[in-house]
Amino acid sequence: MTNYIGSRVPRFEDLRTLTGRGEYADDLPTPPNTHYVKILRSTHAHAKIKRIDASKALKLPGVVSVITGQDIKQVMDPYPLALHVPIKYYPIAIDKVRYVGEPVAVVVARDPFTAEDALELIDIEYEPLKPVLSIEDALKNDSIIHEEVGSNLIWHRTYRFGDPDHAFSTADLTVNTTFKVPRFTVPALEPYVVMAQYNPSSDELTIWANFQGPFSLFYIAARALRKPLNKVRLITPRDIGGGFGVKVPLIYEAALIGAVAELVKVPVKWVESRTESFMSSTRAANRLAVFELALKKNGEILGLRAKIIDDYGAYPRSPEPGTFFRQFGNFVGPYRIKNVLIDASVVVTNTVPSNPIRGFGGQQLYLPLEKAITKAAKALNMDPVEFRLKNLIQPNEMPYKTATGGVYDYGDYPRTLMKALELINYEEALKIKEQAKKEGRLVGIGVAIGVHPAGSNMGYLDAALDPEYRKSEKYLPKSGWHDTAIVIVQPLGEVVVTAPTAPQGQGHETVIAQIVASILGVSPENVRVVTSVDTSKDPWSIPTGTYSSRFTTNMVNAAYNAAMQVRNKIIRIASKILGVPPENLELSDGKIYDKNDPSKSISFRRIAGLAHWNPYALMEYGEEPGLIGVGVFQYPTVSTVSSNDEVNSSATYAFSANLALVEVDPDTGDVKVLKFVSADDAGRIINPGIFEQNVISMINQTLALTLYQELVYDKNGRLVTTDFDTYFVPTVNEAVYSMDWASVETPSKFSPIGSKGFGESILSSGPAALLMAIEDAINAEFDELPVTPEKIWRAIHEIKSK
Amino acid sequence: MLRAWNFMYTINPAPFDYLPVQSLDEAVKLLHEYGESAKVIAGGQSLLLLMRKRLITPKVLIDLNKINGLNYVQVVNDQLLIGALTTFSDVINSKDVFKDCPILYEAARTTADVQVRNRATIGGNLAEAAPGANIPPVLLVSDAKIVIKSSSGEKIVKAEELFLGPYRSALSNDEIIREIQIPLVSCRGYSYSYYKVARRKQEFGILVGALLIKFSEDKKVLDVKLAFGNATSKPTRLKNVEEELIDKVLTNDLVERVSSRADSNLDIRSTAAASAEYRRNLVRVYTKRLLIDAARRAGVM
Repeated sequence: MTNYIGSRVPRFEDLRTLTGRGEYADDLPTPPNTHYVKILRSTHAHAKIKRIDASKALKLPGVVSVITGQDIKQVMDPYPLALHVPIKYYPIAIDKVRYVGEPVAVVVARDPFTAEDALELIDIEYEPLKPVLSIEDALKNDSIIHEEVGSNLIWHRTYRFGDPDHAFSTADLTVNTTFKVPRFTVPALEPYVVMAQYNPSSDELTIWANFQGPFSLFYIAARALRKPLNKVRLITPRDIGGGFGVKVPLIYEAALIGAVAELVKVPVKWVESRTESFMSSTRAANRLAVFELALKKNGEILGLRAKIIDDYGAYPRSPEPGTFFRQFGNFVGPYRIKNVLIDASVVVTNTVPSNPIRGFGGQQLYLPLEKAITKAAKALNMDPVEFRLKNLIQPNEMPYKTATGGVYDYGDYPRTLMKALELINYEEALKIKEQAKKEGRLVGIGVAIGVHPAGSNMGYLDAALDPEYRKSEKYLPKSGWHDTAIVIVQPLGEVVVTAPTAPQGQGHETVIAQIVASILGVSPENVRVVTSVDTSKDPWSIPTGTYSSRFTTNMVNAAYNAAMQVRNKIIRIASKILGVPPENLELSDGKIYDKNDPSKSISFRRIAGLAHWNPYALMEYGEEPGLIGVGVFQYPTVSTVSSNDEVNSSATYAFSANLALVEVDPDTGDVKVLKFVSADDAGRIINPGIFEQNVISMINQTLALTLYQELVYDKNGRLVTTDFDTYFVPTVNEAVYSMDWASVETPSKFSPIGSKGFGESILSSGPAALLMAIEDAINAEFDELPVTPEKIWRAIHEIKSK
Repeated sequence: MLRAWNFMYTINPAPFDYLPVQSLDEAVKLLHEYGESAKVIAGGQSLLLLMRKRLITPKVLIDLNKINGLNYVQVVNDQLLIGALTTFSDVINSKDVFKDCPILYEAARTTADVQVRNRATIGGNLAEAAPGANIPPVLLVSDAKIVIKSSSGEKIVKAEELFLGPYRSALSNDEIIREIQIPLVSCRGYSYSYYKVARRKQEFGILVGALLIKFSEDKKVLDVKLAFGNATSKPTRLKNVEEELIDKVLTNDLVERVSSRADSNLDIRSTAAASAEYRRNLVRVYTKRLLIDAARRAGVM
């Protein structure tokens, strides 16, 4: 049997995208009479809308309609929210604007140019209100964003696991750290593209959009559009030009465009601009975190107390409060911490609403946690690596249930961390640092490790609810996580796999082909994989999509199951034809043959032909006609939240050990990354090439987040970083070149393939490693990101910023 | 002409009339006629970004790209002459620039990225007067002159006279840059150093430093010209530093002493990208680095 699992198969997607033949949303053919839409957005962060006058715009030749919030209200309800708060979230402002960039009116015109020209002909009279722009401002409550709530603090709960009070009262010492994770994004090159067409005769709405999932939000959108799910058809294109989470909340504006199509009754198309993408799509939630550790002198961690306040922007829209709950099961990271107290709050501010951004909660967790761990090592006078090793969960404890309910599905954390030390040559790095110190140069080493969730359990959001509510009959528990794949064998033995994931460049076509080809004994080139989603015919469900690193934990196993059904059926048929017992048959090179006598064989193509041309023969063999497999997969550990708030928030947990060696220029504060290494336990690696591409991208996004990137608002709440010239994405000139990586494979035992998603791992714990290295080099601490050269220079010379 | 923030997320410019011209005479005539409502487009690498976001909305766009004979780099009478429509890529590819004015080669080569350099013109770049632009400090240290054409004729100004402040040039509404002139005597025989301080290599500089320095056989400084862009509101020569170095042998002590007060006469800018304090520090640090770098290149340190 040729096994392509673990082999470096070049990505099938690359040739078409690299030669400009990708099939993106903007390339889709437009229906006849398509009109074009532009959105007029609020220029105020917080204001009442007194009057909207579109009369001048409507006189512009080519303008068909100008739609406002009052019109949208006729066909839409507010989106259901995961947090039980009386906030009405529409995709357009109704009588008040709550962030700069919030849609206020939608222009429909014959061409996109006219639509843009019409924007400035719409007069809006605002009554400005005081904008709330920071967590500190929000807590003052002197300007209320949602009157229905009456406070900008919209959610607060305390979680207690084990006996944290005892841990802290009996501790030899405690350390604490305060950290502010900034507002940031991971920009995708392709902006939002939405087309919508409404058929009044059937009340069917078709929406084409480069949406990445989760399709739970499609459900929410259909609900808001007051339509049954089979009356809204959502179609994603074959190729999506990057997602990184930014294309999750796309669904909210896609529903707006859908509502517009329903109102104007012509097909409409909308393409977002780059500046809109920065200003009004989404961002990561910023967090104010205070983490406190209770320690014993011998280096044991007794307990963790965390106080976190998350800022979700103007509306706490789903999948928020995921920033907090996605990392709930792994809140203690890779450490054996039994006693945990978490005091968690959510505030709203007059900024763009947050949503998942690559890492989704990972940076918000591991920056304060790993900083506290590093401080603890220092306080105990221990090497930061040694201290971590002492507190790591051991392989013989796996599967390990964390205090907060996570079930770590196997992993060898100590071996992986040791591997990272080997990659950077830790002893040598310590010597380099000492030598530099003697020469008056600033060299530092940083380490940060993390357990990284993949494959989100939709049920984790239930942990936000009051446990009393969860006892009531109104409560409908959730544990959605599964995926469905279909393997179809065509008459000449070609294999087509339907694996609806809406990927954004991750290489799913290649990986699915590797798996199915290995199982069916055909070449991967013979397997066509369809990953786009059409809700009218594909087996989608609530968790469908590509987000939360879920593909390699999830869809790969669904495809495995589907292919195994086909394989088993082929073996049974071949057994009858060849007169060989099934257990002696093997599939390879397009043949089914007797392991003991390879001359006894029948071609895969022959059996495919039989199934299509002579299904009667299959029935004679006691088989159902057809050669098709439907695989569904749900992790056995992904369950609903327990009565005491424990929840296994994800299916698999990868482990990432990161080390950085940096040199800081004392005169300018410039940072040079001398080396960055990452050892990762992501279970079984299906395609090492794709694994490496992920590592390289995450290390460079780590660099970006740590040193370069923050979404900056001015005092009026207008975004300053509206383009790539102000929101810095490091280019090849700034990239980390000196890097190394290794994969330590401890396959998950809960799935047939044993792979784990790790596509956000290094970006979650890596920034802490880089930050710790810089702090180590200059012997100063930072309580926020990004650390720019000026901030570093000020810290070195102890010059306060004005 | 900069408008309110309202429409900065648009993709397409507001409607305008497009007027391609065949000659500079025609262009300045039209400029004179349309006044402030007209803009001139050369490479369009900055202008089009502003127009697409409707931050500026000219009614008339006068396109210079069809004018012949304004794209050249040549040496005439010991002067390096660069036509205003010469792209950065053409400057980089010129043997004359590389041989006779390597500091200009360095500055052009590190401007933006290759796609921008293929379109952006020297004339357009100077007219924009972006504070962090690469070229202006180089023109200051190489005693460059700018030939400016208007409806009433031509005039020649010194490079330092062209820049009035951030995005403010001395060009009046009906004036267009025709040529840049660099006397070779100002570059030949000089050692040089050039630095752009930027978060990303392709950005405008937080600080742009240019140094030309000439040493005698006994390693004394015969002539030195130092300029910074984006340190102050316009590109500036640091005459105080220059005067302190003349006739001296560069030692570490001297370089240290001079650079530690390089900023003393400067009214340093403060922007979102860098505070005045940090910029002041950068002026000192890069004065030192420029001097050491140029001295090493000349083999005197």
